[in-house]
Amino acid sequence: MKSIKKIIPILILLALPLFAKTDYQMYVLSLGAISSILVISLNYLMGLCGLTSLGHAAFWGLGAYTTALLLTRLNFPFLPALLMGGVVSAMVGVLLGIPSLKIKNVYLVITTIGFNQILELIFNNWVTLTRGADGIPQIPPPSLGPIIFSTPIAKYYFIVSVMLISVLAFARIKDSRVGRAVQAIRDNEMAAESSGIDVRFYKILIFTISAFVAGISGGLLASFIGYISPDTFSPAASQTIVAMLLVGGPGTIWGAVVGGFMLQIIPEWMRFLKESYMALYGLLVAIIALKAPGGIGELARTLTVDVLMRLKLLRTARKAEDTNV
Amino acid sequence: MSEILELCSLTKKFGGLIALNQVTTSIEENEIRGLIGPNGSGKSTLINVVSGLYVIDGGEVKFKGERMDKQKPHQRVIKGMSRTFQSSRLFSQMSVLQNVMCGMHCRGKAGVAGSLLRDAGTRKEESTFADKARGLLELVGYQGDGTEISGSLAHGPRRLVEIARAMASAPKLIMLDEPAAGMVATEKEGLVTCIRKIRDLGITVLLIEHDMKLVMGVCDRISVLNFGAKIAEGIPAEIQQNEQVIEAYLGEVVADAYH
Repeated sequence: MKSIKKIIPILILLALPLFAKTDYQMYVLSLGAISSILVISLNYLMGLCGLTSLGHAAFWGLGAYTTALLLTRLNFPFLPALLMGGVVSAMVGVLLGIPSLKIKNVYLVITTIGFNQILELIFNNWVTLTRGADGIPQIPPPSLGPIIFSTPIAKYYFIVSVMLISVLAFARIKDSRVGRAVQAIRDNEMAAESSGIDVRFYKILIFTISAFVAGISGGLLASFIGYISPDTFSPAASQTIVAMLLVGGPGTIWGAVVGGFMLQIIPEWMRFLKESYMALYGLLVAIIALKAPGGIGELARTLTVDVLMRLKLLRTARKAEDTNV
Repeated sequence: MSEILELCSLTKKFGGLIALNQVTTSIEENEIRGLIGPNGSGKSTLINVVSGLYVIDGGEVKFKGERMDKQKPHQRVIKGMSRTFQSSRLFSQMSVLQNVMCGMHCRGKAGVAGSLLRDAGTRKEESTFADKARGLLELVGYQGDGTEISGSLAHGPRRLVEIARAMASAPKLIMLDEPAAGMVATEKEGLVTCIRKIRDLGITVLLIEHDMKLVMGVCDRISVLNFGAKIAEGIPAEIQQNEQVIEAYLGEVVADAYH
């Protein structure tokens, strides 16, 4: 039963291309998978540690620019370039993690927004490196040795593989000594340190992990689209990431994935609304916050439990009936 | 018998208020020491200072002969100190078993790589932790299988889980801050058994408690605080006779408890 529950989402992900009629729809699905990785990265910070970052697009951008520059300027092979994107982002994550030890709550949120703005300014103005607002074009597609993922469907499956690894990694970290320590800090910082948990170390560690995963997502984005520019990594993008994690369900594993896909797919459905689709987003977040504070992930879990309970009741009732007859 | 905890002219101020005033005492290894006093007399402050949540303004804390003043709370846990809180501070979104396993954190090794790869060593550590946690829940008399989300527990069981979590770091000294508060009579009896069992494991207990009957019954020695200063110390019978203590705080309560 348990393994079936685990396999279903994977099957859905693998089958999604069957429903995509055009290359463009494949493109949106791939972007959805990339966003899912980004939302998972925020889930480490927000879901597990309870720290809110409204600057995650900056880490996304750091990964994207690092990977893009390594691929286009230094002709790095894809995998090392992608990993370096994560590493550079993680190193900056350590730097942002240090103030998080002293700055709490809303002040930390403001700090992360400021951090995002600084990074966006750097992307825009360090023209010799980033080409500023012109962006970086002609970034090669993902590849592994001689295998180049150039078709939309190959790109999708490659990105989904990376996403599944991210999901597995998140699930394993969440249910481990490290994950417990981080969640303990979220639930009660004072009790955590009095239980022998080094709060400083784990806060910085979770910032680092979160930034690394966001950087990987950024590197994938750069090589998937083939072009990046600074406005993709604005504080406004960070807001959407937070919104999607809240919709998906902070702390839940598949909720973040659902949130990530919705981040890309909903705007496509809402094309007819033009720019005002953000209003619908806002409404969605508000409804979720009011009606299902745990997000879609939590909602799905409680619904499954509910259905299972009902089925069980039904079965026992039928059995009782049978014996009566 | 050697002394496990030595406090020497411990002083803690909050602005103009002197919460602890030159408190000097020492706790022998494997004793059950009671710490009593009226509300606001500095009992919880003392535990907060010893466990490192508050920085002291004067004096020194020695644990197993070693100065602790500069150590952070989590470092003191590694050295063998442990505590519970007056108001419940469980990790409310986690299960009971996970709460206790959090207490074992500093005795474990698994890092990020181990957690990701789930190698044999990590798996073994996890299963030993889980087994030990179940054992501790049994020791404190917790009824349940440990999968309950701790935020949903009633008051009594919650206190027990806190004690199990504090025991999980394999402490030499455990400080319990009003563990019986809000417990019903049968739960209190269970608590007394639990405290005795903890002592039988060779662990020293420092117990803050308002229930005089419980304190007098279970403690080897008792220290009394009033307005941040130690006013008396001795075996329960002595404390009950002590004029100063009776005047300061106990009044007829002690007499009632004894007769």
